[in-house]
Amino acid sequence: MNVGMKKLAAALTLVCVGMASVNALAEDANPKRGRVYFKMVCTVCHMTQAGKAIPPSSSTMAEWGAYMDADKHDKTGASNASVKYYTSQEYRKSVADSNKAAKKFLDVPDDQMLADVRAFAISGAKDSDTPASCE
Amino acid sequence: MKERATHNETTHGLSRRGFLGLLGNAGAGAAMSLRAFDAVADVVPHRVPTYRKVETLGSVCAMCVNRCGIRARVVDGVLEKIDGDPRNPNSRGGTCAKGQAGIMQVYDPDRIRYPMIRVGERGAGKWRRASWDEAYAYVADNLVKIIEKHGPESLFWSSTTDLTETFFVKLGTYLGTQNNARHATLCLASRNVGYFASMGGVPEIDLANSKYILMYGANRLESFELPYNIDLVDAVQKGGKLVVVDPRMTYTAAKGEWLPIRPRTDLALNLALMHVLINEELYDKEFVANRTVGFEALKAHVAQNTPEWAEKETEIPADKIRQMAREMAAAAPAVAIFPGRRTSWYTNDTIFRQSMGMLTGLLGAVDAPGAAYFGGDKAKLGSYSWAIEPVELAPKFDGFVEKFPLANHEDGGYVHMRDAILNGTAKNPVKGWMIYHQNPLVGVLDSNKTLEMMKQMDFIGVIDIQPSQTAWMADIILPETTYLERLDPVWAPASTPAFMAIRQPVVATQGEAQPVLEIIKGIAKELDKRHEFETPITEAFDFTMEEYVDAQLKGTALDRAGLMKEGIWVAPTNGLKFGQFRSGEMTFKTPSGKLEFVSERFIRNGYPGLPVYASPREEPGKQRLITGRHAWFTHSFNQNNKWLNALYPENEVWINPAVAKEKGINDGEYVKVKSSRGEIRIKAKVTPRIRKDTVFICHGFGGEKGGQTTLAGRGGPDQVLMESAADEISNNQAMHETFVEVLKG
Repeated sequence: MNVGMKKLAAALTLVCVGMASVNALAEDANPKRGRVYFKMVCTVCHMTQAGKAIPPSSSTMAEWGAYMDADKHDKTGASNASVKYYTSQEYRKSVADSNKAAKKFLDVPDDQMLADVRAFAISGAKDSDTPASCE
Repeated sequence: MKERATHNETTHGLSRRGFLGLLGNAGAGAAMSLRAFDAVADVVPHRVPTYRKVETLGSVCAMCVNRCGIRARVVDGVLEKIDGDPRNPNSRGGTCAKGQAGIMQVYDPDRIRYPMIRVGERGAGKWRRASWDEAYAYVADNLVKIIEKHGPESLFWSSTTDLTETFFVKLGTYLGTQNNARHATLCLASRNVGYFASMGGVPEIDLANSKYILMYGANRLESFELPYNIDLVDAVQKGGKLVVVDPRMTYTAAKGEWLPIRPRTDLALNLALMHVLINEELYDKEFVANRTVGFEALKAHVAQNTPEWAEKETEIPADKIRQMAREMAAAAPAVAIFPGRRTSWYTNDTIFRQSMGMLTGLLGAVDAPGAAYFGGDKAKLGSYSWAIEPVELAPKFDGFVEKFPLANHEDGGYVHMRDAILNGTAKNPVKGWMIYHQNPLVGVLDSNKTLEMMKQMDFIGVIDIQPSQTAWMADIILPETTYLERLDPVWAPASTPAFMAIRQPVVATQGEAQPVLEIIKGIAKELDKRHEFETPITEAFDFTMEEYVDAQLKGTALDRAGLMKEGIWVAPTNGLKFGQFRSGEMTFKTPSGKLEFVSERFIRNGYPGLPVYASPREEPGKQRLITGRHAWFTHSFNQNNKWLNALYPENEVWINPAVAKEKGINDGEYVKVKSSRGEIRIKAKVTPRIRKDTVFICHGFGGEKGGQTTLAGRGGPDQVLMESAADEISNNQAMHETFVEVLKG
């Protein structure tokens, strides 16, 4: 594990205290894949639906961790309004025809995709060492 | 090598004589004077005064990095005059000598007009003209050969900031390489990391309303940064005090109080200023208590850094340091601790810039009129939706990310990366180098090392408009259109008021030059024929510039046709808003959310949380070499411009009269300047405007005879003398760490 991955793992551990299952996933999370998914699936939808990008650097590592744990994607009241849903194979399949990244990652298991996105968001948080935009 | 321009310098409206007349008044960002009309009158007889088709088009300058608004006057299809656009909130109608001389970028007889393939030894200057089809195939052949033999990590990818740079960087990404070395690593990377540590980012400064301006080396009146060079003049005219700390008396220093500091001791001065502010309880107690962390640790850290201690280090009198601290405290919060732009000076630049953010916090010179601020307005643009990037990119060579965890990894680090290539410590041999809009043979210190690195390359490709020193050493030169011949992405900077501007073609392209996007598309087609990439490169670049611009303008106030007609769109504004950081409504982008005197980011990456000062080394009998810009040139970009070169044909080595006398050197005579890395011949400028222990050479001149016939053989190249050195945290090159001997002829 290189220094970058060690720092990421440490950051994930910091915000995932008490969540053994998530920690186990974090060790294998691929923030690079999470980055591509975040930029090409999440941001595309945010720009359309919310009219703005929501970059990882808009929140702290702890806030991203808490947000992911709460798993409440938005306040629309929609039945599927969870982060878990928007990273799931079900969602990816539903937009695969119009979104190449969703199509590319169709076979990635739900838990893995969620962990990847979580890892990228936390590694790019505003109090991280590498705050990330959506560009 | 190439056909000469069909236009000579007197047939397109403004002659060199006229241009020189125009610039009789040229100061910092000076707007056109009435003399311009005389200048134009000089050349009117060249033309029939009737039947002329005159167009005035709005666009964006690219003669330096500031992107001033311009109005291009085109007569019968020939670019005759460039003026400033008064609607641009940053440049406010001004255009400098460089901006006006942009005409000669188009009509320069040295300009590359066709793809050129090397036929002799590298650097011998033997070329043959190629078709674009052949050029694309040549580049693709070489890149694919290297990728298939050594992997994408064997490609080195370097470029300089401009609106089109993103396309070049993306091409590297789709090829799978992360070995970028961008402009920031030669310029301001250390400033960015230092302020990132203390303030969470580099703040803007409300300079026009500052009552006390402290500039460390920043030379805003010769090295423009908009709107600061204009606002600085306004602030001084309104009675603001300007203090410039610099071993050399620049024109900026001449407008205020010059403190000729001993080089590489700037951090000591900052520590002492903080010592006085704390010791005399002059700091902003409310701001420190509510919006900062680490004050007690800072207090203990600077306890020994008395003005008397600092006087021994900096050679600035202790009383002066006390006076500075008191005056700043009295003016606070309207104090500008100016972050600066090029901070590639010393190996401790990052922690020095960290200390500037700390001093800003101690004064509470944040989020108030005349102070540092974050935010401001920005026009909201849409964005083009790119094809999927490869997930697994090749690692940066030789552990750059691990060795410089806080450096901007997308910008890379030239010095480290060059060493990795030369020392063979990169995982795979680096064999291919693509360069866009950059001249690393001049811009990177210790250029003999760069030449050595070039020898190891199987392939070097350059995209440029000029046969720069670097292009001269390439295997192929791909000619790009100038900024006056092409459509570029929309530009919308952080600015109050917000605006968006467009760079558009104002004249027809000379020769067969192409915009970089078209060049990349041509290469992409050939790449995909030869290799299967994770995302086909043609798919990634399957769009036109018009489509890219349309995507940016989706949902904005103007469409492409509307913006091209106007050249610029300016948003209504209520002016700057202050108070949100002071109230805690907004937080600093630091781990604590506050301004950090002790950097948590530094601590968690193994660096000291507070800046630790070390006295600089000295070499008796030698002078420390420093470099900088001249108002008429940008890096090494336009020294070959005939009109600009006529204003300042060659650079000089500045040397103090006492040292010159000791060595028997007279003003204006040619001398030798020698370091451990090289020797140059250059004219001496004997002047009391520089310390005895320092010499200055303006950057971007000299070098071996190459394709730039105006510049060739003129002046001395500072980069030849500079030893390889870099900032310890950001890997920004450190250009002021070399000692030289100045010897009579």
